Amino acid sequence: MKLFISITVLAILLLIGSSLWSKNTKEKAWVQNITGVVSTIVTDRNHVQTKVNYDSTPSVGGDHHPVWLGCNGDVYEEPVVEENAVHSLEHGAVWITYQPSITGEQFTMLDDKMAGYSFLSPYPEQDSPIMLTAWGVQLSVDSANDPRIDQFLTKYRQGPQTPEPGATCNAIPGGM
Amino acid sequence: MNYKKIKRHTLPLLAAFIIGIGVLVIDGQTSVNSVKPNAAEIGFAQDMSVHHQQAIEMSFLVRETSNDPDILGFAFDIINTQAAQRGMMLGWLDLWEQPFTTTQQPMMWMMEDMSMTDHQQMMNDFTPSAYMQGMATSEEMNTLTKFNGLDAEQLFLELMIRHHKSGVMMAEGVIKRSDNETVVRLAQAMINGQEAEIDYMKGLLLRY
Repeated sequence: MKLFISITVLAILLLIGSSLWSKNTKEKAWVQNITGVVSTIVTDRNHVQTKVNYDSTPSVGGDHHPVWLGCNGDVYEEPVVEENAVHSLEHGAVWITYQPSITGEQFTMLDDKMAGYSFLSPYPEQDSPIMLTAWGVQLSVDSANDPRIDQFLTKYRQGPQTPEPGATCNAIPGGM
Repeated sequence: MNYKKIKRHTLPLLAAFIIGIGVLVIDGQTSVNSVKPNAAEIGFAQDMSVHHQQAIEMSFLVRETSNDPDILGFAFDIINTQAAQRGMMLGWLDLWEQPFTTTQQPMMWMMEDMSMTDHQQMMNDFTPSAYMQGMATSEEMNTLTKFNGLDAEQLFLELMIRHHKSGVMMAEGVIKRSDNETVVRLAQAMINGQEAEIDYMKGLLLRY
């Protein structure tokens, strides 16, 4: 009986130990659930030199121009060509867009978030003040303070939805 | 040792075993570093990283001589993407504690259980003298090095289409033989990406 108790206690201690150890390891960013993210299955992804009619504003993916926009934290002050931006989404970038009416303070907060695999541009036609787009996924928020912005960036920059894992956000040398 | 004693030992050990399995099931996921790789997964990572390396080399060669913005951009894309994907696959091998290269004949991991018809198809489609099916031979690489301008661009596209076709075949080969979600996700991305690029290259080839 003594042996039974001691081994059971040992098993329980092992179980507690292993669960503590699990808590010490990093959460899996890819399985984190972010409220409000709209997912779309995108099947078209050919290179085209023509204008493309996208289903959403901003586009979440589809056929695109052979040249992608630099998306290593690049900040564009004017609206960008959508067909180029969609190619950056294919490379795993998160595209943050905003209505030009947001305050300077809000803009600065977004600007501060720019790093690898992300880019920022105004988008006057969009419905929400701030929108985040990666290939096949989109999130609308009202404020740059929204904690879901960082969650979205963490999950989707070169995230599991990326059509081309490992593709670069460096612009093609020579601007071509 | 009497029967009672065995029984006394067995029960708690069994309990500990079941709890242990439970922890593994809850905690474990079939991703790259939590399961032992099979021969196909190792072979794919080793062969595909060699295969990717040649695509990178061909892209550097054409960028030396081309002035066409489409070719320059496309080659730049291949160099970056395939170099990064190569690093991902070498990273798996590193975690698996497996050698980055192999002395085995290339693609044996997918030929061993291949049907005769599939095997014949593969032999018909690709150059047998290449190191690996679909790769450029050393003669072809020499020619690409010597060619300039339009000739180099055209040869680059022809070789890269063949190269991508065999890359797609190899990625399909590992998907059939793997249930590791990390491996399957990258292999599927290669299929989608390289098939789209084959279409794009066929369009570019019409100019020559």
